[in-house]
Amino acid sequence: MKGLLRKDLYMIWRYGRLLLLISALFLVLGAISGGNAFFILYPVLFGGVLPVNLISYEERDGWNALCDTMPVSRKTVVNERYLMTLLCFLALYLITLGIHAPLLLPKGRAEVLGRLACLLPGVGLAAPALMIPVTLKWGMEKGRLVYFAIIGIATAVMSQIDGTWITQQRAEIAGPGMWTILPIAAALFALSWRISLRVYESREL
Amino acid sequence: MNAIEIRGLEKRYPGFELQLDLKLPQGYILGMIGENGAGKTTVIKALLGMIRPDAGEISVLGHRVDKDFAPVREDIGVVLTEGCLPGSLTAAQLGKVMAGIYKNWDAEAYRSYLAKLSLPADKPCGNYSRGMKMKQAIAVALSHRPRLLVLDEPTSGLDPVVRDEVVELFSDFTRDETHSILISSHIVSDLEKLCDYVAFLHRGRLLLCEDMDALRQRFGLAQLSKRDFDALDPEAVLGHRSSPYGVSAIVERSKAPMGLALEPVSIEDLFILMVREEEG
Repeated sequence: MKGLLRKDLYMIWRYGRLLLLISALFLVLGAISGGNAFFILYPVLFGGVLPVNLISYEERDGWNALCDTMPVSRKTVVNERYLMTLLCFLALYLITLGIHAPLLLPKGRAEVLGRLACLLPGVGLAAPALMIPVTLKWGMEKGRLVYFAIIGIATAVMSQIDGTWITQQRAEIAGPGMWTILPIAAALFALSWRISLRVYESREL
Repeated sequence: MNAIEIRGLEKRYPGFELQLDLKLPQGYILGMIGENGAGKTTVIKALLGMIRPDAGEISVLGHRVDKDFAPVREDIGVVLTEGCLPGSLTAAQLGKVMAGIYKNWDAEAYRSYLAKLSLPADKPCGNYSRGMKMKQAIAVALSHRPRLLVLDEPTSGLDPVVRDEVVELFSDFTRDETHSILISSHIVSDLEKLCDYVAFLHRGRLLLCEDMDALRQRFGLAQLSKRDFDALDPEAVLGHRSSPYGVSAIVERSKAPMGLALEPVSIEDLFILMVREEEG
């Protein structure tokens, strides 16, 4: 798996640099815009789907076929993909929280930070959880359709809500329902992992 | 021991059916020749466990190809038709990636293959020509000390000089008598230089699999008039091609009439005439 992780890191550096730069810009804009949902959520969404996007480059090069001739089981290939997705998500999740914590905590708004901590996995883990099994089963073209559907839904939802809703002290939003997002996102990710293992094991390359 | 043993392999796709028995003894080179769509790549995919056969058994290096086959691939070097290496990685980065995949990765050997094949270490493979991509894939396939090389059209896209170098690399590889090669190619001249055995595939069936020298001894090429050809025992004729000037026929020497002049037959002629005969 070490080799596969290294390959993904090289590929992220090559293909994902622009996306990471945009994410960094959004993070800064999210911090100075007083908590605009769009700028706060998108970097985490990008982080989660970045390793999934690499599959399209691998399909183009035929790497998935060559990898299947190496001493790497398909289980390992799927596990690595999910691990890398989790790592990328975690990196942008922690960076996002790290940027907002010094802005929120001195103002005594720990609850808002907690709300962010719950909401971000909903975006960053759910998107790849839906995309990866589709991509591994039918290829990147169909995976991309799921991606655009997710982006469309996310944009539609965010355009309907007050741009600063995340960082406002609203009791109704900060209700107990908010805390269920994290376990639901984690469960969805785990279920997706299991489905992908089955899907990829049975695929003919 | 056989490096590869395929028994009763069957694989069906819409409009295509593969049925095959094949053996590659350890220490030898087997060349697979076949037209596009004959089933060469399907055979290679099946013996590497990339596709699931509908019937039959395959064993490679003494191990049955099943869901636990992945560790055996440590001893198999593979070159696929398009090279298939990640285009964004440089040769140097690929070396580091492969070191994390193959336990037996030999970084020194890899560097030496890169130098021998004139491949730059710091240029992304995606910017390579097709020939360079194939050379890069060959360097990777040889650098983890495999015992078996499985090569799908490895010399396509290479110029004649480089092709010759690559064929020499493969020849060097089999100096060790535990090393074996299965190679598919359209370039029959490369296979003639390299192979001990040759297998002809046509529409998913094996037309022939024999020792290359024995084939040349067994068959000869006769240039005949139409009348002389008609007089031949049909059992002696493996294939033929008619033209306004006469008939070229592949004839089995032991069944040929006394005094019939037979020229040495090339593998390419043998294959083409056999396929024509098969197609009627």
